[in-house]
Amino acid sequence: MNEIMETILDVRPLLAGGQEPLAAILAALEGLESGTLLLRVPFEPLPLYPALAERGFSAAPFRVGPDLWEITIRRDADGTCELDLRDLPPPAPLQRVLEASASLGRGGRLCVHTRFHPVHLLDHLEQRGFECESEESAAGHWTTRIWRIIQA
Amino acid sequence: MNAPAPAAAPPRSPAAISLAFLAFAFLALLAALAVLVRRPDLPFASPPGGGSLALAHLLMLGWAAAALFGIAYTVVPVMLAARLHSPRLARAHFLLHAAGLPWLALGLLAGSPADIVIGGGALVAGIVLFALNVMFTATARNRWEPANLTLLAALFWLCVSAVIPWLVANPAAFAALGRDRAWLLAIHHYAAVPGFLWLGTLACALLLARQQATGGARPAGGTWFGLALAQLGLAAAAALDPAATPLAHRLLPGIFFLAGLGFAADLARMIRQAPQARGPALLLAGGGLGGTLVVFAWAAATGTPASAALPAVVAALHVALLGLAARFLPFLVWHLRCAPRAGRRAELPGPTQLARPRGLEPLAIAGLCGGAYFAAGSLASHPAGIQIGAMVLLVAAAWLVLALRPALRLLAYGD
Repeated sequence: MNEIMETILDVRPLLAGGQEPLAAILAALEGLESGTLLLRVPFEPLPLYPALAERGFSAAPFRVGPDLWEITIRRDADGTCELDLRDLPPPAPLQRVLEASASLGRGGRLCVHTRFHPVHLLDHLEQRGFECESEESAAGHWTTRIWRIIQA
Repeated sequence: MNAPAPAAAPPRSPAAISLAFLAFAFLALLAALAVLVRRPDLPFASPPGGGSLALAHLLMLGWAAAALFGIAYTVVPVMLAARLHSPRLARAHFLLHAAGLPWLALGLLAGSPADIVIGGGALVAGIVLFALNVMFTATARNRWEPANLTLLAALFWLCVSAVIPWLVANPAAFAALGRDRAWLLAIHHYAAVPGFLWLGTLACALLLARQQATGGARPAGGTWFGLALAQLGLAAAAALDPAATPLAHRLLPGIFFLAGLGFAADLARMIRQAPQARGPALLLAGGGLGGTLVVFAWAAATGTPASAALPAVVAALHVALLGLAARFLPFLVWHLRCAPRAGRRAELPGPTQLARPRGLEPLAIAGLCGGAYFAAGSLASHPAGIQIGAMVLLVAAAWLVLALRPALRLLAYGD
């Protein structure tokens, strides 16, 4: 379903060895014009997000387990991060979108593909200061575009 | 990363209403089972006294209907691809249901017609609010899907079931129909059990299974077949006067058995695409729904009267609902407590972690055994079977609360 090329970088061994993983992450991102980098870390790398946003990348975090987070990082010309969540049973898509939206910077956009209209997501996003629009595709799937409301 | 402060459940979210209905349903189930353990002879009282009527309505409206409403308020908007039309109407429905049921039960117990009218009126008003809320939520696109129509059919038969006591209380009204009181009461029972409870449970199971089927399977021919056949059976029940027609004791369960096979085929197809849904809760739900098929087949083969077969169907459906609630409750808690903080607090559990609590396996076995005893006790008109079944189901329900402790603890999580 996801045809975008994905590079995987597991920085857990680096962290276990007491090394700083930022240089390895930035090196992996250097060649990332299209496609995604799937970063595996033992905790949510909150300080990494601003550094990524400054360099024009968006990050979609997902907590796989108690000691494993997967962060999907991608560069997009118009700052849109695309998530294809059609393979996930509910409410996992809702969780993924909320986690991804937390790292969405000013001007950033999320484009989410789901099997159902994300009805219950809309309330949460509105509460967090996001706007969104959903439309159904001819194939019966839903595409939702999410962006942060920028107050004047 | 400059996210606003964490907030409580969104005000428009129907998850809080769903949780309130499920909590109410559990309390009603525990109360009804406790009464059955103490007075297992109540279901066999002939003619049914105030106690047996109060108990039947506590189980049907207090537990089963409230649990179905609880599931429907969260699942139906997803299936209709629209936000719930009015959470305020949903809250009013809950208040009417929570106030009307004890009023009705106490009225039945005391034999007070005024209290029965007030309690029953509040319940009917709540059901009307639910139906209006669903109708206004429905979009033209999704209204005619078979699972949604099954839910609509269940609501229709609930309304039929609710209207009949008014006719029975008004001899002039049913004299005009040219039928007697026993005929009307038989329709009341058929509309309530296969019409509302069975179809309603199947609709919720279909909607939940469709959501979980990641391969995109959806209710199709089997559900259409089952729905059409079930309506035929219910129409036949209304036309045949089952209380006076021995043939109906074989024909009607036979029709419902075939209809159930249609629903089961679609459910099985969707569950095959939902490996994450497999587990004790699914075992309970599947076992309960399978139990209804066994009871219908048994009744069709032996010609068991509806007065014995329908309570056995209800017993199997209690087990199915216990399974659906066990699967659904953790997701509600996650929606209410974890979703508002998702992406902000790493220590909160994900929905999958909450949905797989430890210790549900004994619950599934206890629930299935309790339901089987209960159903067998009803079919054989044996109070001891009902008593043992109620005891085991009581333990299973208490076990469920214990198993869901991690999820329930989150409800106390401060904002």
